[in-house]
Amino acid sequence: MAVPRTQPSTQRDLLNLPVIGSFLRWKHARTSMQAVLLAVSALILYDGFWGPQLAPKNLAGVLPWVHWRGLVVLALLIAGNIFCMACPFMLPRRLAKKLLPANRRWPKVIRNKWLALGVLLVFFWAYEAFDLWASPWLTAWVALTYFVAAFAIDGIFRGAAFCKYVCPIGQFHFVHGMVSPLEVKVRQPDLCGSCPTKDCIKGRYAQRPEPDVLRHSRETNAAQDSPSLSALSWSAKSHPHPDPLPQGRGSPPSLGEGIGVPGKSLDATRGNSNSEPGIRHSRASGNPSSAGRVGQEPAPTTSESSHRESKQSSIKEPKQAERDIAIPAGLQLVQTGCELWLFQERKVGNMDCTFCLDCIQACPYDNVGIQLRAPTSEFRKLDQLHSGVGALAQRIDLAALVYVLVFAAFVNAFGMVAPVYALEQWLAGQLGVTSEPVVLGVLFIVGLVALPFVLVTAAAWSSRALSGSRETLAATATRFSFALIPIGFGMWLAHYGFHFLIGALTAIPVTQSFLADFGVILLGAPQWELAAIVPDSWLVPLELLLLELGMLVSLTVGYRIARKQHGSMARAIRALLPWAVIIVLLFFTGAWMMTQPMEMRGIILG
Amino acid sequence: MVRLGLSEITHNARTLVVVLIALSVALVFSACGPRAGETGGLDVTIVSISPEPAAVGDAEITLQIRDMAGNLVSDATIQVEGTMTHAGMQPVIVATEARGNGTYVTEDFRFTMGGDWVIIVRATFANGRTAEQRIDLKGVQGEMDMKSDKGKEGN
Repeated sequence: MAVPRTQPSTQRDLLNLPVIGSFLRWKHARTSMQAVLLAVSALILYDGFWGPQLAPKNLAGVLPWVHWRGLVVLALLIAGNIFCMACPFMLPRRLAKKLLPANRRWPKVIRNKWLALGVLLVFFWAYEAFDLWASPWLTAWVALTYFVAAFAIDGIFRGAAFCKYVCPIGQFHFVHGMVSPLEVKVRQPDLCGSCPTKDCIKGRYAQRPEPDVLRHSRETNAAQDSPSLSALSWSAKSHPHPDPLPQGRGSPPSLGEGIGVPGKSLDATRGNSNSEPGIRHSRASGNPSSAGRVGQEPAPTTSESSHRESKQSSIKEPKQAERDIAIPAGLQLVQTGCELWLFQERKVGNMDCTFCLDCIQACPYDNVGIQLRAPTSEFRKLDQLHSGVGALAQRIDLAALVYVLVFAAFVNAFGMVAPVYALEQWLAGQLGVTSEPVVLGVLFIVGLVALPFVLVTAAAWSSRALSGSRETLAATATRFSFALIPIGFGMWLAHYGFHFLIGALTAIPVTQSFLADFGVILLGAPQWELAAIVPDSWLVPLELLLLELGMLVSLTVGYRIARKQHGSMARAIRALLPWAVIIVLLFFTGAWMMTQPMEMRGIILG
Repeated sequence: MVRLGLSEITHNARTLVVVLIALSVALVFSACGPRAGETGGLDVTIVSISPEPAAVGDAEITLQIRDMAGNLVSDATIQVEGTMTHAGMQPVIVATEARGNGTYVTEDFRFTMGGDWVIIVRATFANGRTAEQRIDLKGVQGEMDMKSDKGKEGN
């Protein structure tokens, strides 16, 4: 039966664009993008390990630190989390899902952003302490570690644990994707209410064809009726997707009581940040034993109803059998649902969304799109329950991540201007140490932990006092953390955008040089003079413009947050005041840095 | 007779595949050789940098160049590139003037910022052969260093 599609969305939707839309709808769109970046990563690894150990002459020195970082922030500004969509680390991760058990649940104690925050802090420190930007060899090691970590973690744990709980790059994208103009979201929410199968979160299943070798074994061992083989002995009849709206629109959905209703639903649909749904997306049907069905006769699964019923029964008992949804043996996953446990029907915003488009591919009604939105619209929904994330206003771990990313934008840029060396020398003298990693460790603890803690605590206390709010200090600090994202993003844009604008063309001579070493002469000798794509005189004004925009948007978001919380304009302004002071201070700090002379040194102490 | 269940078979097969993939990757990487990156074939000495110490601004670098046999090179076209240790910076690329006796002096060279520089000397010989040598030049004084030095001199 033909699946009815949604009406063309009245909203601006990337999927409706002629070429881009067709490409993104293509089943292998993401894989093809990942394959391209995987090939680039392979070149980076090769050149990082075996190429010339001078960053400007090495693909591992140029592509990650100049191009990738710059394009990431530009993509976040003008589109969304494109780089998670094309992330090359996902290919080994997918391989791991096929080869390794991937059946453990991520430990509850770290089902939050704290681990990722720790990794991020270590990375920021290591970047300066070991001059990663100047070492292609170390850069290659970082990339290799990433591949191994993604493979190992997602080979052990269910879902996309690496992306959601570990990947520091992903966290950067998630946080700054909150100001992006695109969002993966449902087109017609009322249609989701009638959806019986919720493929966007569960994935889409079809009848598994019986492999010849298994059929042969079954026939040979028929008399013995081996349980493990009998579990795979089912009809090869195809399993069509269920009639999309068998009960008619508006009638109670067959799974509605399980999926949509808090208390009975899958955890992901409840919006709990530290919970996982009981779905084994990649393995459940791929290996019947992992679905807990070994030794059982498979249920007759030729009808869609049995599929639905079996899902239903396990949803009603979420604690049973590791809360796995019972996918009848014989069904195989043909399209994963969201592995970050964002249930489209209740998904809000871009937090934790990798733009993997699995939900778009899985939805049988074509009811999920990549839609244009007001870039700050997400900040109006801080108290709303986000599927798979929870209420942002209650996520202290997320707020801590935001504060670290905001202050890291300034500390990271500070590492490139001359005064940082004077400060390092002074600090080394005060501490009586000559180890630069130690001195930088102290600087980072002060700049990314102690200073933000003091400033935020003071601002939260003042905000409460001025507005008469009864909210706790932590709750106030958490709520207003999101107001600082735009100013932080403005600084990241200014910094990484600067590197990209002055060095975008350096990829050409480095590639020429790389190819020349293999006997391929491309466009003559390497044109080492190629570098900038804009005149030098544009840079500081452009940086200041981005920072100013960040400040203005931060103040606007802060005001909206305060207004929503306090109602009256006067109280809102009083509540905002301390946060506005921090935002303006950050702006002037950033503007001061931009006017400082740049310097780049390696080890300076000792 | 020991019979393995399907889950055990697939588990062993998967382990084998993982090991094979790991070995293949290791084999590929171990087979890779170093990439030259155009270096080698020259013996370059920086005779002097004026002003001394090297600082942000115009500078004149005097080089003495020998081939790998130790012979002074006087008939090559020498290009000097100054670049930073951070990728993506605009390099400074200038020609040189031959002063005889293997000595070459840069024309219009400029240190555009303080910090660690790498001086890359490229030679093109009369027969079309090219060679290259890199020299680290650490601690080019920035504007703050220069102000600090002036302050000390004033005291």
